[in-house]
Amino acid sequence: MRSLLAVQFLAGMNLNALFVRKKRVKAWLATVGMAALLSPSYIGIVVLQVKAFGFLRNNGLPLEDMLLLGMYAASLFMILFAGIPTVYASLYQSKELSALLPLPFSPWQIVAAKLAVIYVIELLVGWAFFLPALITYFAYGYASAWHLPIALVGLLLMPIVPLALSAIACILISNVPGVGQSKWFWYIGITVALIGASLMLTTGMMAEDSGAMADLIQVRMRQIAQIGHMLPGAQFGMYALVDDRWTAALHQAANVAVSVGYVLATLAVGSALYIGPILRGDAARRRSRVHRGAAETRGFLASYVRKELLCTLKDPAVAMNGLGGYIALPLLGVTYTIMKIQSKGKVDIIGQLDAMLHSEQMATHLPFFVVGIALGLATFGSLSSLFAASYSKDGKRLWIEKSLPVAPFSVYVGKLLAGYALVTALNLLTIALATLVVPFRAQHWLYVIVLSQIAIGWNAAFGLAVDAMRPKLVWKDTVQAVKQNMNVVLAMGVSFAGIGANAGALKALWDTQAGPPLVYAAALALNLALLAGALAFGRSASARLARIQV
Amino acid sequence: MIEIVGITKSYGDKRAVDNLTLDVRDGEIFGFIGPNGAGKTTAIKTIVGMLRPDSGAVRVNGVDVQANPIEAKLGIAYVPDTPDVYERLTGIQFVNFIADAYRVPQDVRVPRIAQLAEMLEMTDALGDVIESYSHGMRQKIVLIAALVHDPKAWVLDEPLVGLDPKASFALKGLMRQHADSGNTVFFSTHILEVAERLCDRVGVIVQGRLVACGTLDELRTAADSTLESIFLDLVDR
Repeated sequence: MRSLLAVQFLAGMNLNALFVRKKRVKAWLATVGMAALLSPSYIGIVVLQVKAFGFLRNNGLPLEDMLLLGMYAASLFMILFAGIPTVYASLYQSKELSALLPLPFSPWQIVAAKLAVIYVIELLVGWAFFLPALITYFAYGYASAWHLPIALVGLLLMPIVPLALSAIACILISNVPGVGQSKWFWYIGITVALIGASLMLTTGMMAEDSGAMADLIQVRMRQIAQIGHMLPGAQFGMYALVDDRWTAALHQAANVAVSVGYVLATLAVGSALYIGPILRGDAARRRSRVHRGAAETRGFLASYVRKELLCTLKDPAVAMNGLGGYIALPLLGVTYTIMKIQSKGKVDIIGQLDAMLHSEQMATHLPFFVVGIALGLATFGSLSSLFAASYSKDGKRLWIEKSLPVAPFSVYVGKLLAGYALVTALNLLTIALATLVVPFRAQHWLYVIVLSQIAIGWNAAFGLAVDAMRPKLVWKDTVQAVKQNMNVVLAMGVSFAGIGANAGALKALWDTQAGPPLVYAAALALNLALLAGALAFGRSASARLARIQV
Repeated sequence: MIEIVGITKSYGDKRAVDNLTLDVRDGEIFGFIGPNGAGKTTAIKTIVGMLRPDSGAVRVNGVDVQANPIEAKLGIAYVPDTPDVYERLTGIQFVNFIADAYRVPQDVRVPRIAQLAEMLEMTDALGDVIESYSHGMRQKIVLIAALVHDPKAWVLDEPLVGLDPKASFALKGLMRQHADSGNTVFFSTHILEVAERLCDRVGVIVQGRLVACGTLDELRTAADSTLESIFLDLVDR
């Protein structure tokens, strides 16, 4: 069991990378880089927590227990929501079970080893968020030294209830026929859950004066503390943090008992419903059956576009990343609505935009806004990874394209058309929604459609060309091919440079007070030229297919 | 017919294929054998136009693979050494895609797919997503896709790996039948008994060089020697 745990930690947390000679420099650099990247946000969170306690103390508000419990409950929810994707990935997306099952381990031992790794990860997540609050609570003298051992036990037990609930939920849902095995269900479900959690935790922080702030903290913390009760059994750990001596000790003892119960329940559910179905061979029986479909004849291009679309849409990781900036739109919409409601209408960007576009001064500058909105919409498309990772996601399967009797440029065009069809659908949908809030006339919207499509076109053609030049063909799963791909970053950089060139041209036209026809024509001409250049580059880059070794 | 004229292919300092010259005639099955890392797969990829040789030329059915890759590929069926295919597609979607690329008309492909699927016992699995296939089933779907356009030259890189005995028997029968109809079959294998029984001629490649080529009788140094003993002798030399 000890060796099983050790292997799980080395593999699950990729600790090996930090020590293996060939990998350690890169791994350490990545770790330090990530830490440096996250430090400002984390320091911000810590400062906020310390200031919140300071605010309560300076204003004599007896809400410190409420604040601490609120932070604790928030940490539990972070663990709960972060736990779902982690558990899903560890249990259902790893391929090591075939190596573990033949070994002399009980099912519960395998489940325990896998969940132990997640426990440690979630422990670190929970501590990162909650420890600053707890330390400040002790430092300000809100708790005696007597509470310290009780708090330490609580800290160790903290992830157990939410993690057990995540794991049990994950395992139960995965056993629901037709839903549990759908990767789309998990991707969408996890995304919605994370958005919901983040909105729940971040809303309501816009009070203006200290009185309102105090009311808000009180109400918000009560709400979060109540939410904490939604994790059955977690309340014992919460009471143990703020109760008097013996009551705290008793609550912590109850917390230990509840945690042990959760661990046993999780191991039992995991053995029966995670390992059990695999041992019974349910997955093979559940093989997704699709209607065989008639042997229809298509031209290569049509067939290739169809193949690309099927492969993209059936792979949630590729498809979700392919959505690019469009995925941010619903988030922006929800955030804007919340801001508008909470500011009681003071935040009204759309109203201000409407007023600005209808002002007399703006009448002569309208073309700039039309062009600007078209290019802005195209930027959403440029954030899609459909193009700059298109060859990469084929990986070792690129032998198929290489061995087919087709010109490399046909493959390039097939990939371009498939991705372009998806992004066009999203762009048109976005424009349809934009028509509801931006007061342009029909001819302006027509122009927006044309220009944004051209701009998306050159972005796409260039991104695809970059990937054709140097595809990343060695990866473990398509997420790696799409997310950890420099080509995507490189293509985005060029997209922004292109948008920058457009901005420069618009600035020059603005300065010379160019008339509307010239503005519209110049933007079209510039982007058509970029499209022609990108396609020419694409034709040349696509020829590299013959030289790529698979 | 496959004509390989002095092809050389290097990866950095390593010469994977070294001045390889050989002909595979119409109507014969040619077995390409060699130890791991000898250059078999590199040579095969060069034959089918997936790799450009540093020097030399390959002609398949009289068409220069480097000069006219598309025309040459139309006359080749290629099966790679590992069946990496689009896992999200169903078997029939994949086969149809390949058939579209080879411009196989519907009235030809439908019976052809049915015949191959029946022979390899894949009829019921054609509607399943490839993700759910075993290794052997993936190998079978690659075989069906490769043979759907029924070209003159078959170039198969270890095609029997992962196949069950029945499918293996069926494929060997197909290879014999294809060669007997005046076509060319070029395949690599590590199963020397198969090569011995199935091939009209055998080529042995060691460290990128063709060290022996001919019928079994031509390769024999002693009357009772087997292909295995000949092979081991050549490799150890």
